[in-house]
Amino acid sequence: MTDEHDSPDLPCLGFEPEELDGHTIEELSDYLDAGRSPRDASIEQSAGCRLALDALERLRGLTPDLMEADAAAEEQADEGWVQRILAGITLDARAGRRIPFRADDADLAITEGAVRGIVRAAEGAVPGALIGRCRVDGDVTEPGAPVRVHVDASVPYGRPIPDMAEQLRAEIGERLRRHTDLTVAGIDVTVHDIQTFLDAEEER
Amino acid sequence: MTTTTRHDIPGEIEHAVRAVSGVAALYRTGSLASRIVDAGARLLGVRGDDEPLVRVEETGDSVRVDAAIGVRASGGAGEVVRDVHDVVRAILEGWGFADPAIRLTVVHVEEEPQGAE
Repeated sequence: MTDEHDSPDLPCLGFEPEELDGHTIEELSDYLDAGRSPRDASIEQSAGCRLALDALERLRGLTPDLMEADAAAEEQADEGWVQRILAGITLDARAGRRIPFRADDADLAITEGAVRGIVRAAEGAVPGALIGRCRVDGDVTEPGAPVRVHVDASVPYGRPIPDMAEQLRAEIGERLRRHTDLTVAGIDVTVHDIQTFLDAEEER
Repeated sequence: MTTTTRHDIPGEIEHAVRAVSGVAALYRTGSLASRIVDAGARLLGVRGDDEPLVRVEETGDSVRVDAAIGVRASGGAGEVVRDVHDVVRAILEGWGFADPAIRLTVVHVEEEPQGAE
Protein backbone atom coordinates (compact mmCIF):
# COMPACT_ATOMS: atom_id res chain seq x y z
CA MET A 1 0.00 0.00 0.00
CA THR A 2 1.42 3.31 -0.94
CA ASP A 3 1.27 6.39 1.14
CA GLU A 4 2.41 9.82 0.12
CA HIS A 5 4.17 10.14 3.46
CA ASP A 6 6.28 7.06 2.85
CA SER A 7 7.90 8.17 -0.37
CA PRO A 8 11.57 8.94 0.16
CA ASP A 9 11.63 10.74 -3.18
CA LEU A 10 8.84 13.13 -2.37
CA PRO A 11 9.73 16.41 -4.01
CA CYS A 12 9.80 19.44 -1.85
CA LEU A 13 6.15 19.55 -0.92
CA GLY A 14 4.74 21.86 -3.57
CA PHE A 15 1.24 23.11 -2.88
CA GLU A 16 -0.56 21.56 -5.82
CA PRO A 17 -4.24 22.48 -6.22
CA GLU A 18 -5.31 18.84 -6.66
CA GLU A 19 -4.21 18.16 -3.10
CA LEU A 20 -7.01 20.38 -1.79
CA ASP A 21 -9.88 19.58 -4.16
CA GLY A 22 -8.82 22.22 -6.66
CA HIS A 23 -7.80 24.87 -4.13
CA THR A 24 -4.40 25.98 -2.95
CA ILE A 25 -3.18 26.67 0.56
CA GLU A 26 -2.87 30.34 -0.43
CA GLU A 27 -6.53 30.45 -1.48
CA LEU A 28 -7.53 28.92 1.84
CA SER A 29 -5.41 31.46 3.66
CA ASP A 30 -7.14 34.28 1.76
CA TYR A 31 -10.50 32.72 2.56
CA LEU A 32 -9.64 32.81 6.26
CA ASP A 33 -8.53 36.44 5.88
CA ALA A 34 -12.00 37.22 4.56
CA GLY A 35 -13.62 35.63 7.59
CA ARG A 36 -14.84 32.68 5.47
CA SER A 37 -17.28 35.06 3.84
CA PRO A 38 -18.93 34.90 1.40
CA ARG A 39 -19.32 31.20 2.04
CA ASP A 40 -17.61 29.07 -0.58
CA ALA A 41 -19.32 25.69 -0.84
CA SER A 42 -16.46 24.19 -2.82
CA ILE A 43 -14.26 24.82 0.22
CA GLU A 44 -16.73 24.19 3.04
CA GLN A 45 -17.95 20.91 1.51
CA SER A 46 -14.43 19.61 0.96
CA ALA A 47 -13.06 17.55 3.83
CA GLY A 48 -9.50 18.22 2.68
CA CYS A 49 -10.05 21.96 2.71
CA ARG A 50 -11.71 21.80 6.12
CA LEU A 51 -8.77 19.84 7.56
CA ALA A 52 -6.37 22.40 6.12
CA LEU A 53 -8.47 25.31 7.43
CA ASP A 54 -8.45 23.79 10.94
CA ALA A 55 -4.67 23.60 10.95
CA LEU A 56 -4.25 27.05 9.39
CA GLU A 57 -6.47 28.60 12.03
CA ARG A 58 -4.43 27.07 14.83
CA LEU A 59 -1.21 28.22 13.17
CA ARG A 60 -2.62 31.72 12.74
CA GLY A 61 -3.22 31.94 16.45
CA LEU A 62 0.53 32.01 16.82
CA THR A 63 1.51 34.07 13.81
CA PRO A 64 1.11 37.53 15.44
CA ASP A 65 3.50 36.44 18.18
CA LEU A 66 5.95 35.22 15.59
CA MET A 67 5.88 38.55 13.80
CA GLU A 68 6.10 40.52 17.03
CA ALA A 69 9.08 38.56 18.23
CA ASP A 70 10.65 38.80 14.82
CA ALA A 71 10.27 42.57 14.71
CA ALA A 72 11.71 42.91 18.21
CA ALA A 73 14.72 40.86 17.29
CA GLU A 74 15.06 42.63 13.93
CA GLU A 75 15.70 39.31 12.32
CA GLN A 76 14.03 37.49 9.47
CA ALA A 77 11.18 35.17 10.37
CA ASP A 78 12.06 31.53 10.10
CA GLU A 79 10.23 30.96 6.85
CA GLY A 80 11.70 27.50 6.58
CA TRP A 81 9.88 26.52 9.74
CA VAL A 82 6.61 28.08 8.58
CA GLN A 83 6.94 26.34 5.20
CA ARG A 84 7.45 23.02 6.93
CA ILE A 85 4.26 23.51 8.92
CA LEU A 86 2.32 24.53 5.79
CA ALA A 87 3.69 21.57 3.87
CA GLY A 88 2.54 19.24 6.62
CA ILE A 89 -0.91 20.80 6.59
CA THR A 90 -1.26 20.29 2.85
CA LEU A 91 -0.05 16.71 2.86
CA ASP A 92 -2.05 15.73 5.91
CA ALA A 93 -5.26 17.07 4.36
CA ARG A 94 -5.25 14.25 1.79
CA ALA A 95 -7.86 11.60 2.43
CA GLY A 96 -5.35 8.75 2.27
CA ARG A 97 -6.34 5.24 3.24
CA ARG A 98 -9.77 4.21 4.50
CA ILE A 99 -9.55 2.90 8.08
CA PRO A 100 -12.43 0.55 9.00
CA PHE A 101 -14.51 0.59 12.14
CA ARG A 102 -15.52 -2.73 13.66
CA ALA A 103 -19.00 -3.47 12.32
CA ASP A 104 -20.76 -6.76 11.65
CA ASP A 105 -22.73 -5.91 8.55
CA ALA A 106 -21.75 -2.40 7.56
CA ASP A 107 -19.02 -0.64 5.63
CA LEU A 108 -18.00 2.07 8.08
CA ALA A 109 -14.64 3.81 8.12
CA ILE A 110 -12.66 6.94 8.85
CA THR A 111 -10.13 8.40 6.43
CA GLU A 112 -6.46 8.59 7.20
CA GLY A 113 -6.72 12.33 6.58
CA ALA A 114 -9.33 12.67 9.31
CA VAL A 115 -7.13 10.65 11.66
CA ARG A 116 -4.17 12.91 10.92
CA GLY A 117 -6.46 15.85 11.68
CA ILE A 118 -7.31 14.28 15.04
CA VAL A 119 -3.62 13.84 15.79
CA ARG A 120 -2.79 17.40 14.71
CA ALA A 121 -5.53 18.85 16.90
CA ALA A 122 -3.75 17.42 19.95
CA GLU A 123 -1.42 20.41 19.75
CA GLY A 124 -4.30 22.56 20.98
CA ALA A 125 -4.19 20.76 24.34
CA VAL A 126 -0.46 21.30 24.80
CA PRO A 127 0.17 25.05 24.85
CA GLY A 128 3.07 26.10 22.67
CA ALA A 129 3.38 22.82 20.79
CA LEU A 130 2.87 22.68 17.03
CA ILE A 131 2.68 19.54 14.95
CA GLY A 132 4.35 19.85 11.57
CA ARG A 133 3.94 16.40 10.04
CA CYS A 134 2.02 13.29 10.94
CA ARG A 135 2.40 9.76 9.60
CA VAL A 136 0.60 6.52 10.41
CA ASP A 137 2.67 3.41 9.70
CA GLY A 138 1.18 -0.06 9.42
CA ASP A 139 -1.73 -1.69 7.65
CA VAL A 140 -4.51 0.57 8.89
CA THR A 141 -6.96 -1.15 6.53
CA GLU A 142 -6.64 -4.42 8.46
CA PRO A 143 -8.72 -4.37 11.68
CA GLY A 144 -6.58 -5.12 14.70
CA ALA A 145 -3.25 -4.77 12.92
CA PRO A 146 -0.75 -2.79 15.02
CA VAL A 147 0.04 0.69 13.76
CA ARG A 148 2.55 3.29 14.80
CA VAL A 149 2.02 7.06 14.72
CA HIS A 150 4.90 9.44 14.05
CA VAL A 151 4.68 13.21 14.48
CA ASP A 152 7.16 16.01 14.02
CA ALA A 153 6.68 18.79 16.52
CA SER A 154 7.90 22.24 17.36
CA VAL A 155 8.08 23.31 21.00
CA PRO A 156 8.83 26.56 22.81
CA TYR A 157 12.29 27.37 24.05
CA GLY A 158 12.76 26.81 27.76
CA ARG A 159 10.20 24.06 28.23
CA PRO A 160 11.35 20.50 29.07
CA ILE A 161 11.17 18.66 25.77
CA PRO A 162 10.53 15.20 27.30
CA ASP A 163 7.56 16.57 29.27
CA MET A 164 6.02 18.23 26.23
CA ALA A 165 6.55 15.13 24.11
CA GLU A 166 4.86 13.02 26.76
CA GLN A 167 1.90 15.42 26.95
CA LEU A 168 1.51 15.27 23.20
CA ARG A 169 1.81 11.48 23.21
CA ALA A 170 -0.86 11.14 25.91
CA GLU A 171 -3.24 13.55 24.16
CA ILE A 172 -2.82 11.86 20.78
CA GLY A 173 -3.37 8.42 22.32
CA GLU A 174 -6.56 9.52 24.06
CA ARG A 175 -7.95 11.05 20.87
CA LEU A 176 -7.17 7.99 18.78
CA ARG A 177 -8.86 5.72 21.32
CA ARG A 178 -11.96 7.93 21.31
CA HIS A 179 -12.33 8.24 17.54
CA THR A 180 -10.85 5.10 15.98
CA ASP A 181 -10.64 1.34 16.42
CA LEU A 182 -6.92 1.40 15.62
CA THR A 183 -4.54 -0.78 17.58
CA VAL A 184 -1.86 1.78 18.36
CA ALA A 185 1.43 0.08 19.13
CA GLY A 186 3.29 3.33 19.71
CA ILE A 187 3.37 7.08 19.23
CA ASP A 188 6.69 8.64 18.33
CA VAL A 189 7.16 12.38 18.80
CA THR A 190 10.20 13.94 17.18
CA VAL A 191 10.95 17.55 18.11
CA HIS A 192 12.36 19.21 15.00
CA ASP A 193 12.22 22.85 15.97
CA ILE A 194 12.47 24.99 19.08
CA GLN A 195 10.74 28.34 18.76
CA THR A 196 11.72 31.31 20.89
CA PHE A 197 8.62 33.37 20.04
CA LEU A 198 6.38 30.77 21.66
CA ASP A 199 8.21 31.24 24.93
CA ALA A 200 7.15 34.89 24.99
CA GLU A 201 3.53 33.92 24.43
CA GLU A 202 3.60 31.43 27.28
CA GLU A 203 4.73 34.09 29.72
CA ARG A 204 1.66 36.27 29.13
CA MET B 1 -50.57 16.55 -0.03
CA THR B 2 -46.99 16.02 -1.01
CA THR B 3 -46.06 12.77 -2.67
CA THR B 4 -42.53 11.55 -2.10
CA THR B 5 -40.81 9.80 -4.96
CA ARG B 6 -37.64 7.79 -5.01
CA HIS B 7 -35.86 10.84 -6.35
CA ASP B 8 -36.25 12.27 -2.87
CA ILE B 9 -34.24 9.50 -1.23
CA PRO B 10 -30.87 11.38 -1.24
CA GLY B 11 -32.47 14.47 0.24
CA GLU B 12 -34.39 12.47 2.83
CA ILE B 13 -31.26 10.63 3.89
CA GLU B 14 -29.22 13.83 4.02
CA HIS B 15 -31.82 15.53 6.18
CA ALA B 16 -31.92 12.58 8.58
CA VAL B 17 -28.14 12.23 8.77
CA ARG B 18 -27.69 15.89 9.63
CA ALA B 19 -30.11 15.40 12.51
CA VAL B 20 -28.08 12.59 14.10
CA SER B 21 -26.44 13.70 17.34
CA GLY B 22 -22.72 14.22 16.81
CA VAL B 23 -22.91 14.84 13.06
CA ALA B 24 -21.34 18.20 12.22
CA ALA B 25 -21.52 18.23 8.41
CA LEU B 26 -21.78 16.28 5.18
CA TYR B 27 -19.08 16.39 2.53
CA ARG B 28 -18.71 15.54 -1.11
CA THR B 29 -18.00 11.91 -1.86
CA GLY B 30 -16.14 10.33 -4.74
CA SER B 31 -12.61 10.27 -6.07
CA LEU B 32 -10.33 13.27 -6.09
CA ALA B 33 -10.88 13.67 -9.84
CA SER B 34 -14.65 13.57 -9.51
CA ARG B 35 -14.58 16.13 -6.70
CA ILE B 36 -12.52 18.51 -8.81
CA VAL B 37 -14.93 18.06 -11.72
CA ASP B 38 -17.79 18.67 -9.29
CA ALA B 39 -16.15 21.85 -8.00
CA GLY B 40 -15.73 23.06 -11.59
CA ALA B 41 -19.37 22.32 -12.34
CA ARG B 42 -20.40 24.43 -9.36
CA LEU B 43 -18.24 27.31 -10.52
CA LEU B 44 -19.87 27.13 -13.95
CA GLY B 45 -23.31 27.00 -12.39
CA VAL B 46 -24.02 23.57 -13.87
CA ARG B 47 -24.43 22.09 -10.43
CA GLY B 48 -26.02 23.84 -7.50
CA ASP B 49 -24.52 24.10 -4.04
CA ASP B 50 -27.72 22.87 -2.45
CA GLU B 51 -27.88 19.52 -4.21
CA PRO B 52 -27.71 16.49 -1.88
CA LEU B 53 -24.23 15.37 -0.98
CA VAL B 54 -25.34 11.81 -0.29
CA ARG B 55 -24.82 9.53 -3.28
CA VAL B 56 -27.61 7.00 -3.93
CA GLU B 57 -27.45 4.46 -6.74
CA GLU B 58 -30.49 2.33 -7.43
CA THR B 59 -30.21 -0.78 -9.59
CA GLY B 60 -33.44 -2.69 -9.82
CA ASP B 61 -34.33 -3.80 -6.31
CA SER B 62 -30.96 -2.98 -4.82
CA VAL B 63 -29.55 0.29 -3.64
CA ARG B 64 -26.15 1.59 -2.69
CA VAL B 65 -25.65 4.65 -0.50
CA ASP B 66 -22.35 6.46 -0.07
CA ALA B 67 -21.89 9.36 2.31
CA ALA B 68 -18.94 11.30 3.77
CA ILE B 69 -19.61 12.82 7.16
CA GLY B 70 -17.96 15.16 9.60
CA VAL B 71 -18.44 14.53 13.31
CA ARG B 72 -18.00 16.63 16.41
CA ALA B 73 -14.94 15.88 18.50
CA SER B 74 -17.00 15.65 21.68
CA GLY B 75 -18.43 12.31 20.58
CA GLY B 76 -16.66 9.21 19.41
CA ALA B 77 -16.51 9.03 15.61
CA GLY B 78 -17.23 5.29 15.61
CA GLU B 79 -20.29 5.68 17.76
CA VAL B 80 -21.67 8.50 15.62
CA VAL B 81 -21.12 6.70 12.33
CA ARG B 82 -22.88 3.59 13.68
CA ASP B 83 -25.85 5.75 14.65
CA VAL B 84 -25.87 7.26 11.15
CA HIS B 85 -25.81 3.79 9.64
CA ASP B 86 -28.87 2.75 11.66
CA VAL B 87 -30.76 5.86 10.52
CA VAL B 88 -29.89 5.37 6.85
CA ARG B 89 -30.74 1.70 6.97
CA ALA B 90 -34.15 2.42 8.52
CA ILE B 91 -34.96 4.92 5.76
CA LEU B 92 -33.97 2.51 3.02
CA GLU B 93 -35.92 -0.34 4.55
CA GLY B 94 -38.87 2.01 4.68
CA TRP B 95 -38.52 2.39 0.94
CA GLY B 96 -38.58 -1.40 0.57
CA PHE B 97 -34.89 -2.13 0.15
CA ALA B 98 -34.29 -5.27 2.19
CA ASP B 99 -30.52 -5.42 1.98
CA PRO B 100 -29.10 -2.00 1.16
CA ALA B 101 -25.36 -1.46 0.71
CA ILE B 102 -24.38 1.46 2.92
CA ARG B 103 -20.90 2.93 2.83
CA LEU B 104 -20.20 5.65 5.37
CA THR B 105 -16.91 7.43 5.86
CA VAL B 106 -15.89 9.90 8.54
CA VAL B 107 -13.76 12.44 6.69
CA HIS B 108 -13.43 15.19 9.29
CA VAL B 109 -13.56 15.48 13.07
CA GLU B 110 -14.56 18.99 14.05
CA GLU B 111 -13.00 20.47 17.15
CA GLU B 112 -15.29 22.33 19.50
CA PRO B 113 -14.63 26.06 19.71
CA GLN B 114 -12.51 26.93 22.71
CA GLY B 115 -14.66 27.68 25.70
CA ALA B 116 -17.59 25.70 24.33
CA GLU B 117 -19.34 23.23 26.57
